[in-house]
Amino acid sequence: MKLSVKLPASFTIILLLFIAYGLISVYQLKTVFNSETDLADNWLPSIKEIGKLAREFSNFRRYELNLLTTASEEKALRFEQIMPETMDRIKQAQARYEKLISSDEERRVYESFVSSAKQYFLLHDKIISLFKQQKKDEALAVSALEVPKVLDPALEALEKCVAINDKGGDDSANAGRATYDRALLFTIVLLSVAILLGIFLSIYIPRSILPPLMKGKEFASKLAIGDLTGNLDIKNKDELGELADSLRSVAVAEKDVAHLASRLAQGDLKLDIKPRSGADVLLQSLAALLDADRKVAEAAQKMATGDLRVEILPRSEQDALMRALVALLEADRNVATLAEKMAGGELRLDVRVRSENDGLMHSLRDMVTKLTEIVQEVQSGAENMASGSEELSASSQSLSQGASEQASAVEECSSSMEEMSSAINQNADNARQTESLARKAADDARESGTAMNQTVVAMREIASKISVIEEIARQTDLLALNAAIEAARAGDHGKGFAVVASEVRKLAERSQAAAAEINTLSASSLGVAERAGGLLDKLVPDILKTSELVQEIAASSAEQSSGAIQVNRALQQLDQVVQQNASSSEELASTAEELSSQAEQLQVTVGYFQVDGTSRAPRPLPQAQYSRKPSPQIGRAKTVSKANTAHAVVDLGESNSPEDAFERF
Amino acid sequence: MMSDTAKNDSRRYLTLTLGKESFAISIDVVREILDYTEITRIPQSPPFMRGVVNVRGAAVPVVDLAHKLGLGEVKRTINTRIVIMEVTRDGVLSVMGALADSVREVLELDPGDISPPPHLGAQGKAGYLRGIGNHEGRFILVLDVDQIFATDELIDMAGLLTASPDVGAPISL
Repeated sequence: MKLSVKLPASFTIILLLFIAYGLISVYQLKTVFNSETDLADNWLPSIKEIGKLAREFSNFRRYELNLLTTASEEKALRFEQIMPETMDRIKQAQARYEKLISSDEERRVYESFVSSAKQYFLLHDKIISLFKQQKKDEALAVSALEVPKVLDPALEALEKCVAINDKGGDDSANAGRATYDRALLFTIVLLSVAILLGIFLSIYIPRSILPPLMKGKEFASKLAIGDLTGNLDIKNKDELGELADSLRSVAVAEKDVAHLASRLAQGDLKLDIKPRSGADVLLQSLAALLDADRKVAEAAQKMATGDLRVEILPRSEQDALMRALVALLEADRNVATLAEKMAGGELRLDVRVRSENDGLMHSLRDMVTKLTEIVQEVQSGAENMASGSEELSASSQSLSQGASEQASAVEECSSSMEEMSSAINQNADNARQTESLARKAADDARESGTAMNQTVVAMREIASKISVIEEIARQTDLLALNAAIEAARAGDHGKGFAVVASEVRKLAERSQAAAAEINTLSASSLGVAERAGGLLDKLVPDILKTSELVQEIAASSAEQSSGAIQVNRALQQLDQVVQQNASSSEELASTAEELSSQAEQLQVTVGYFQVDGTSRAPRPLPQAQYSRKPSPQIGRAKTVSKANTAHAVVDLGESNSPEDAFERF
Repeated sequence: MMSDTAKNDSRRYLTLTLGKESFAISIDVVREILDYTEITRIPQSPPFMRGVVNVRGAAVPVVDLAHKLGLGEVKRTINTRIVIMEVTRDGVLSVMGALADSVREVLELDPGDISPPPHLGAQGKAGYLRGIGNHEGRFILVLDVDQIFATDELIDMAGLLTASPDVGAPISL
């Protein structure tokens, strides 16, 4: 049985039970209430009113009596006053009670009272009139005799009413009690039934609901954390079974979606995502994601091919991907704009780097910086070139002049060379003669040298001999001295000896002196001879040297002669070369002029690029000051045409640039 | 004969030079004159004692006379001679040699040519100077070798010479 039947049924049963119980209770309560109300609203008030009525009635009768019996006027007055008041009160009570009459019998009885009362009041009126007529005794008689005949039945009737009401009250009370008993019993029975039923149901129903629910909850929890490996083993035929089926199909669906999502994650954009229903937000979202991915892929493809016309709209505030793509597109467009500007020659660009890792912008900025540098360098280089070519022009002029001067100088050189040649030849002859003379002189000197050496040797011998003599003389002197001493010691005997000794001494002295003189002379002669010998010795090598030198002179003269011939030849060549130089320098001059014009052009061309501080026109160059050979016209025309094409893109890779004309020398 | 000899001896002198000064020694104390030969040094001898020489087998002490007389030293030259003398010391006759820069001659001096040595104040030791001889215009100091070699002290002959300016200056004729 389905839960939708089971549960409502159970609840309905219990509910019905409760409702029944409630209704019955209410009904019972109502009954009791009715009884109680009856009691409170009907019987008791009736009794009260009847009581009041009776009391007032009695009072009335009493007052009536009192009035009739009292002696004081004052009191009689008071009684007279009181009786209408009491009458009012009776009437009020009657009115009140009449409302409370609840049965026919009671009415009958009341009616009897009323009629009795009416009769009484008639009597009363009679009485009063009698009183007023001061017929107190008649009044009294009426009061005593007539009145009881009506009053008593009235009072009896009243009492009967009371009894009726009393009984009615008792009946009510009893009814209430009976109802209470009944209700109590019913309540107990019903409650027990309800409780038992409730216990039973509270055990049975959870037992049939909870296990499948727990299984379902587990399964769902697993699903909630993405674990699709659970399985739900519930085969109820009720709603839980249906829930289980749904959960299982949710699991299956999730697996499918997971599969789809994984394929999507791998970038497979060829999926076909069909939402399972109009409310399938997940697959709709996935489909939207796939669609967006496809769009992004398309846009990226377009951007990869350089097509920057794509439109990328963020899908929402949180669309980081599209925003990033937009930023990328923006950046690409920026780069394209920058590149355009650069292509237009504008290098004063502000290349902003998007981040630290922005390789592209870094490189672009570097490129712009480098390009600017290069352009500036080229500009300054072109200037330098322009000034350099001026200088070149000037120098080539002077070169030309120099060349012509050179030519004339060469002529002079040539003639001088011829003169030199003859002089050299003469030198050679003289040298040869000198050489033979020198050789002879050397031989003579050598002979003299040997002779001198011999002399020296002889003189040395003489000196040594002389020294021997000297020594002898000295020793002789000494001996003589000793002899003198001996002679002196010998006294007289030695006198003669002393004389001899002194003579010997003198001789020795003379010898010594002579030897000394000879020594001096020979020493000086020796010195002279040695010096002469030395000089001659020195002379010989000097003469030989002279001879050699003269030989060398002769040889070098010969060389000089041949050299002079060569020089002459060379001079002739030089002459030719100088002539060539002259013409070359003229060509150089014209080239210099071309160079300057090229420099001008270069400046113009480079001026295409706008960089800071270099937007000035190329300097005007001085005109060539001498006639020059016509330079190749073809080259010029080309360069002129190039200068005329304004803002031509400077393609530095091609070779048809001004440099060509420059090279064509 | 002795008296002749003595008389002759007292007139004959050997002249020698020490530096620029000429000195004379009585010939009777002179034995012979030698050339400068090998002098064997003797350790721990007085500074003026140059050593000993071999004279025919005998060892004769040699004295630097210049040194002894405080006139410098005798340097070895071709003219340097050793004068062998007989010196009496404490009554004992001994042979000594004296180095001299050169030896001149044997000459005769009259006693009249010899003036007595000058008195030189505090230097009372003028005993070693016998006198000053005059020969051919030159002053020659006559030495008394016995006195000179009486002590081992050095004699300040230089002081002596400079103290009296007359001595030593050659007479200009």
